[in-house]
Amino acid sequence: MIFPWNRRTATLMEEAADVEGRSLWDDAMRRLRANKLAMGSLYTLGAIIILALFAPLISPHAFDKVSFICGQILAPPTMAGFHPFGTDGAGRDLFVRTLYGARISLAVGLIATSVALTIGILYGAIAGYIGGVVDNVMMRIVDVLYAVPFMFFVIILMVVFGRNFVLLFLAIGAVEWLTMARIVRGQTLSIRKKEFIEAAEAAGLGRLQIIARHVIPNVIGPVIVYVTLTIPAVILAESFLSFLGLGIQEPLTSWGVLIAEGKDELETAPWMLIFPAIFMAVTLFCFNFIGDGLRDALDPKDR
Amino acid sequence: MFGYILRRLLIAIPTLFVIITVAFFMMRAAPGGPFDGERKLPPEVEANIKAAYDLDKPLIVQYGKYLGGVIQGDFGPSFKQKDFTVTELIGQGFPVSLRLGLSSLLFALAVGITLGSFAALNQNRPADYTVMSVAMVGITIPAFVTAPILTLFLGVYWGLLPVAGWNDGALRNMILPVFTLALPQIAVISRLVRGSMIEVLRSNYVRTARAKGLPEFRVVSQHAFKAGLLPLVSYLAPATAAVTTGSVVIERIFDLPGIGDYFVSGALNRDYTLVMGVVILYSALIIVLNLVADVAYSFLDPRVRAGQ
Repeated sequence: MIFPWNRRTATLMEEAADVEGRSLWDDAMRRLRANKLAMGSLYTLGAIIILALFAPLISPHAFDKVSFICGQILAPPTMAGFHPFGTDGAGRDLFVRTLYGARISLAVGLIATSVALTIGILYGAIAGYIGGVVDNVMMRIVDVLYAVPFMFFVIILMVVFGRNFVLLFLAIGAVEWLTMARIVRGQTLSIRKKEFIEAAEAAGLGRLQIIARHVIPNVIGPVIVYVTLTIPAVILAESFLSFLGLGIQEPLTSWGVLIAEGKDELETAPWMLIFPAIFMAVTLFCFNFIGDGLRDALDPKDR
Repeated sequence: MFGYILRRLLIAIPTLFVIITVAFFMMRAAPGGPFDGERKLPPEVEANIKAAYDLDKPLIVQYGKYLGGVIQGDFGPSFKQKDFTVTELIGQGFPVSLRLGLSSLLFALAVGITLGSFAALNQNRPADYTVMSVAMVGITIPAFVTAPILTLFLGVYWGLLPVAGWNDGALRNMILPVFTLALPQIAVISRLVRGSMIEVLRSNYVRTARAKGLPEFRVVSQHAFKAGLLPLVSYLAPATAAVTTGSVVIERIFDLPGIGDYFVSGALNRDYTLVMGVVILYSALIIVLNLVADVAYSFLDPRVRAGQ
């Protein structure tokens, strides 16, 4: 005879069998998915990236096609002739230019951040794992570098190497790695004495292998959060340089360049400032919200 | 503590040395020189000018001479602004940048602390979300977007404030530059203060203060602020760096005679000594402020003192 409570236990056990073990990452993803602001930002960002990638397919205009036909210069936004964002002083379609600017700005953000990420993780993990004198010297160097007014050096670099596109990525990346290194080192210190590291040491793994296989994968959480906050900082830095006329060169463009151009025509053609500025602001918003969301998801104690 | 300060100051010397060296050789590696103009100079004149500025000597000799000058506090003559030494130019421009930067920082601190603690006291309520969204706007919209828009409305359309110019630092001329320069800092500071105040307001001693029946204002101002505003001390140096960089753009937009603008035009014109002078000045400033922040921190926070 089956008692009702037994049946209940049986169903409970069946249900339990269906529930899979959840890792830290599953938990984090679940919390992130529940965060409407972060998910909304993620979708918005995805939309902007897709728009930027397929820009030439959407619009019949080329980003650098100059047109001096009357009425095509500084034309306000219109669907006739498909200029949804209007045109600039050289009759170029602003919609396409804004999306091309998105490509460059996002590329600068991603590549410079990867540069910073690579340097910062390696540097921080090595300093934190080896410790002792090595750590001391390495972190003193970081302290020293913190005292450098880096934007000024990037400006000099741009002057020296004539606004080289690749160099812009590298220069900004080289500026942003310091904080990354500090974060990784702090995390590494906190896991260095954990059992799994000891186990790896006991198994006879080399230092580099331990750092690569065991340290870095376990410090990645806070790093990801910082990455999502570095990308907008880098995009801002690029736009700052472009604004000063030291960044991306014509006919290529970025949001910073477009905004700098738009500022001069603010009274006659406000759309030249407004659309690139909105795109840039929304993108930065999204990255910041995703970063905040990830931080809450990975470190739920502050909720 | 004295030994610590001394040690930090001693580290500052090689730091500045490295900065000067790197900046010197980078600047010289740039193509073109300060005397390349539209019109080619007669060779004799060019040789004379180069001799006058030591540009005909090997680079390493120029570097040695420059370094020797810097140690004695002589930053050399400006290559572009004839008849001015770099010290004179910085003497003219720095007070402007300093006043702009300091006013912005103070303004940002006042507003940021108010907004941040207001948000912390109303955590997860509409007031909190409003403040934090506004702060996010401050972070994401760069000064070179807000500045022209504000100028257009307040300056051009409504004629309330001057559009640009310094006018010997008249208050009316300062309002727009200070505000636009402070905006991103307000955003960062209020986020920082909100975070640390939320933590502090949950702590036991704040609960004790409330349990004693202290009015909320005193709980916040006398008890919570002490620990809640500590992170601002270590934010001092990064804030200064951000404000000096931001000031380059603001000085451009509002046409202010500060040294940020000198720096950019100096870099573009290959005015070697002027660029070097500004870099050295700002590096020294950031080094000193970093030190001040660290020392102040260890005075204010007993936990750090114990750790030393």
